[in-house]
Amino acid sequence: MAISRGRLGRVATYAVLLVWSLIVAFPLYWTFITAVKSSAVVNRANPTFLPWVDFRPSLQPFRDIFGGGDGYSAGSMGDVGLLMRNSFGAALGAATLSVLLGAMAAYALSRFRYRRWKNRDIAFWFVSQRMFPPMALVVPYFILFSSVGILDRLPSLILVYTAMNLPLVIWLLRDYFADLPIEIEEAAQVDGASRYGAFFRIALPLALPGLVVAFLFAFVFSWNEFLFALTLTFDQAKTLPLQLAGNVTLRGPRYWDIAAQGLVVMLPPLVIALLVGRYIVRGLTLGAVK
Amino acid sequence: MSSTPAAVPAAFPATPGRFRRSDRNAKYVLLLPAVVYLLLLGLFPLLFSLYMVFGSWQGGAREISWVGLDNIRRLLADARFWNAFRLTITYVAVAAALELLLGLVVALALQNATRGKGGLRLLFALPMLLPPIAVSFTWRMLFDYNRGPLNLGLERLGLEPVTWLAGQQSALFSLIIVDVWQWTPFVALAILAAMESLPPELYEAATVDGASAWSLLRHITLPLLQPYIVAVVLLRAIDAFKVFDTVFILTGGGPGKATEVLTFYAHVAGFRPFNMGFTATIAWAIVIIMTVIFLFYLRAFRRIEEG
Repeated sequence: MAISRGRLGRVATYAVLLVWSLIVAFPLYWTFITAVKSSAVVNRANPTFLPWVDFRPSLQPFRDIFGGGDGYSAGSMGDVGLLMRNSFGAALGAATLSVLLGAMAAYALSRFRYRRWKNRDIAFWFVSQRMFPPMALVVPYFILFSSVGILDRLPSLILVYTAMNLPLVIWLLRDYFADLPIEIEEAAQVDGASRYGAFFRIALPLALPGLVVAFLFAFVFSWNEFLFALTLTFDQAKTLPLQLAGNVTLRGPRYWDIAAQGLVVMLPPLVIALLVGRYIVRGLTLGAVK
Repeated sequence: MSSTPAAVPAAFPATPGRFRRSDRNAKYVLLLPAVVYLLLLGLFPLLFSLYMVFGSWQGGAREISWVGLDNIRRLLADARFWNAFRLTITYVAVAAALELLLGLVVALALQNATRGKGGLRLLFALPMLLPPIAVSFTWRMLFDYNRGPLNLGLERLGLEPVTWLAGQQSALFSLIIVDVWQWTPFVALAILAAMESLPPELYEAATVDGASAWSLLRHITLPLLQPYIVAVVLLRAIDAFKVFDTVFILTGGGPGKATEVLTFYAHVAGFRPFNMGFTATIAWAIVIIMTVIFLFYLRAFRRIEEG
């Protein structure tokens, strides 16, 4: 059902796609090549575009950021080990918790009929959670977590990121469970399995691909999160985006180091996007399409 | 959506006899943890912050002191708040409009393409999956006045360089450019998914009748897509209201107050002089605006569901 079949239509189609591809790719390309430029190359009067052609690639940025030098002024990322542990800890913890809670709720919504609040109302209530501006939650979280004593500790980020991802995880998985055949579960129940057995031993394994996508979805958006990390952590539980953001106060921007640091932070989402990007995007656009 | 009749299994209430005890427990045991979790970490903090609107809490203070309507009065008389309000509305409206326009064009092109569709979808989706902080630094390099590739390009074309992030007018627009770069794919891919769900028979019939490509678009595609387009744009608007990361990295609200959008002002007001009550008040102003947009969105979404 192509809309235009003429030669003009084809040319226009591919021109649009080419232009948008360049628009998407160029900023990423620029980050990649800046991360392998020495300070001298970046500071040249004319920008350079092609490694080995108009500049000689250098590993200086990566030596700087992992060199453990004296903080931002030397382009160092500081305690990279701690930052990695925090970022992975928060993202893996939140992804696990949101998939666990999300799978249970999504299964329930797709297998039982609720009366007082209808299934659809419950589902809408879940998705309405995504509307709240994080800024409205920052103040109460700050006060609550400081009174419980988990400010600047990893559990606070895990709790918050789970709340942030749970609504969309539920929606993603609800669709997934609804598409699974229920006959197998029914047969198992006839054979004496409890509902929990049907859920844990039959539905969950069958939904594994969906669970993986939901997990990676929650992982990526927890990994990328900044506002809560900025307000709820400062030192011990600092994550990679927060460390990266610290470069903003630099007077003379060390673009080579910033690009290398940015690349390190982009890497896990980039890998996940290349592996399962299509499915994650489906999760994002849920609520905009069926 | 899965609550279509086909998706609701027959284990109940048609066969109540088979609705076993473990089922009756499971129905709540499986659903409630997520509900309780979101009540505790979503609704409760939100109501707590509503309470803060009438209070004042400074760092280290033992208690929240009650100040009545002081915060609200201060907000309504605050020129800085109204500046932020105006900037945010401009940001959201321009970004959403550009994203709709470009997204529609990209979606049509993707739908028309015969080859490379999968790869292109993946490439186009990349920006929205990348950390906004890293994306912001990437754009900071591109926007660099002296050594950035954007100004170099303008120079090669014989144009004047632009003070992307330092100009009173251009700074907000530069932030919009980043938003458009990151989120146009959202609009494009959502509209593409919607287009692919339209019944092909309609097109076949119209083509047999000799309709031109333009009239197919004008009289069939766009009208059918309309509810989807409304939903996508409203979702984008809701998310654009939350803009914070790019402002934090690229402009810090400046130059002057030229890019101090609501979320950024809320942050500055709360965490620098440390008046959390006032931050909560600004945040609640955002909540109210977003609730209105969200209600429109729900209406649009219900139309999709029923349509």
